[in-house]
Amino acid sequence: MDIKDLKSAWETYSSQEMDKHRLGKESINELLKNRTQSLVDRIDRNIRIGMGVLLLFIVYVIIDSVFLSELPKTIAHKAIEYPKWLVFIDVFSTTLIITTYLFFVIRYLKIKRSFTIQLQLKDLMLGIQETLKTYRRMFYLVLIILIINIIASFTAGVYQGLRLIENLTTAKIISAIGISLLIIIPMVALSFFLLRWGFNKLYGRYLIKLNETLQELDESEHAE
Amino acid sequence: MEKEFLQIITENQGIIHKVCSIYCDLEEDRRDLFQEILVQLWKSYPSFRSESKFSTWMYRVALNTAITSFKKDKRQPDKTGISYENLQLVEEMYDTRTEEQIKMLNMAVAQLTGIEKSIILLFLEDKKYEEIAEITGITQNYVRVKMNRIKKKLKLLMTKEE
Repeated sequence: MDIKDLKSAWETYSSQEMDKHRLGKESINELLKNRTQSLVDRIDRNIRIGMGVLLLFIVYVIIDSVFLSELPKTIAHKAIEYPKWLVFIDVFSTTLIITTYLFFVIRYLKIKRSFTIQLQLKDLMLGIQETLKTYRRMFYLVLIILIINIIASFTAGVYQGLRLIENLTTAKIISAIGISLLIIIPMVALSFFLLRWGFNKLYGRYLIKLNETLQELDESEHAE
Repeated sequence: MEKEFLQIITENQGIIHKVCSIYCDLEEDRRDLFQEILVQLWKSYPSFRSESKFSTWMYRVALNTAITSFKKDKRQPDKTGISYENLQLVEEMYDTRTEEQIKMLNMAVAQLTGIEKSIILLFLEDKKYEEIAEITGITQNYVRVKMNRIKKKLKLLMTKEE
């Protein structure tokens, strides 16, 4: 079959398909009304929800370090003088969390602003790829914030314990630290692998397809 | 604006159907893609400027949506390239030669990549290289190179089928 036959076969086939599937104005309107969200729309919604949850968590972290840090003093009726390094860890971790969050939000808004389906294919695909990567980064961001928060609270807790509890032996401190690490490390590792597995399961195949198409488009630039 | 949009889409829906025909071989996928293209056209319509032809803009949005659409695992494309429903319909409607040609065309097109499908569709629609380049965002030179490769690929695939 040569190209001429190919064209005539296509003409016959496409006109038959058109007759079979032709829709009236009302049906088109109905389809528009019952529209479903596309992949990018769904991810966009999820990222917005994630941003809201993270913001609430950050507000909690700030309230915790400003107001709730006074709680142990009230409970123990003892004034605890925190060393500078512990205050530094607290301030540093809170600043890091806020900066990372702001960086994430600004970056995402920048991607969103320039994203439209009318873009040239390569830019569009890079935009989708970046959106998906941002979505994945958000999961990691949640994990990192949780780890930082756990470590800072853990360090402060151990320090307070040392100050408040009498008869605290070195063996008890070591076993307390050991048990805490035994709980924290597998928990963090498990969360990390679960997040990665879940993301790959949902979008892994799609990301591979995107990469392949981008590679094909890149070939076009090299072929010039 | 909604009335104007509905009018213009009803008149030009052939473009969406053609894109759906070349990218989907299952009725369910076809319906989903048709709706997704429609939604994307509606969303982009306010920013459409008459710098390019309406059909050029429509092809671009439709093809971009088709190439980047997200298919769930359970609905992987069938590599035979033609659905059972369509196959039956084709057999009922055309003479043996046309029927064979359509079957072969579908089977061969199903083996092409997303970008190749968009180029062959525009070629079959008699678009010039210049317009194909404008729609796909690929340079005219590469459209030529790519078109030659696709022709060879299709010839090979169809010879195998024969």
